[in-house]
Amino acid sequence: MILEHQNKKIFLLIPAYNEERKIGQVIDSLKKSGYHDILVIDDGSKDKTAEYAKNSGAEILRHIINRGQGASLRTGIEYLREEYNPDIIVTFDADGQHRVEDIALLLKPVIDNEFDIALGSRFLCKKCHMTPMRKLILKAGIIFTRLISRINLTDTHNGFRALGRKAIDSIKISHRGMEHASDIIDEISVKKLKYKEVPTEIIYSKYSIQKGTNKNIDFIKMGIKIILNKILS
Amino acid sequence: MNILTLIIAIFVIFAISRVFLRYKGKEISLREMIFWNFIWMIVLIVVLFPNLTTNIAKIIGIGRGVDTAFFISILLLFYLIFRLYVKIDKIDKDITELTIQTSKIIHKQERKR
Repeated sequence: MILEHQNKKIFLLIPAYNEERKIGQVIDSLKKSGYHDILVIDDGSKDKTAEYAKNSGAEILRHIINRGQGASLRTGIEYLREEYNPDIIVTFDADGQHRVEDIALLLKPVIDNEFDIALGSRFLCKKCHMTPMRKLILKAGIIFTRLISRINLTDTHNGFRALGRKAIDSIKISHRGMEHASDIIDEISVKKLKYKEVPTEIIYSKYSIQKGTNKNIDFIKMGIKIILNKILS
Repeated sequence: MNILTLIIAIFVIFAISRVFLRYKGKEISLREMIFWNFIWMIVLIVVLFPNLTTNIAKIIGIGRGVDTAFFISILLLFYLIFRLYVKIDKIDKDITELTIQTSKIIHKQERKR
């Protein structure tokens, strides 16, 4: 079943790694809100993520081994392009951090054909609260991205995005891990895509904060990798 | 010839023989075989003729021959680390590509059934 919104084929793409505790709830809440076209990329999970996602009615592609969020998004975007020719792909986190209600806000600028891509921003959202450590690291990421991509964004590493047709066809993700977020921003800059930041709330639950502790280290590693790649490529 | 020189010389000859064996077993290319044997030959020459490094040191302006050997060794090590980085990075990208493509192929086959 394809969600037709002003004759647009809209797909939800969820990269997931060891998310058995949340994935079912996330898919159920999306379905309740009318989003039935959900593709989950199980990134080599060691738990029952794929099983729970399948039971909830999502389409599943499985990576044999864990390759990271960037690789999962690449798999998902390539597969959707080859099989469904989508108009819009919304990337959504599997850990329940994103609000289903915000999808409509992200979709609007792309559906209206005003922008090629809409990016969620937790810093534009007045209600959003986050740990000081996370805030510091994200702010550092913003400055870093401004220097490298020369593009002014308030939130550079938010996994909540809506990609229109032009963005789906032109954005090339080259990093397999968290660094893919910088790839997307680089591509927006290089391919001169029209982008809009949309305030989206991030729900920091005990579960996501616990997972986020690891992500802080990942962010630092990611910065080092990006610098190395910029030097060596 | 002192004992240390003898041990190093035997080790280098052993290393050269390993390089040849790896080439014979098609584990490394001809280019890699030549490269590694060249490196080991230099080590052998430096060990057998230590005065040679003193002459090189004088030419390039570094005090002692031993310092020159260290200096060149560090440079070589950095270069080798760089080569390893590039190679590992390429292998990593290849594995990612394989994972992405196989996941799509397997899923498409499952859908057809």
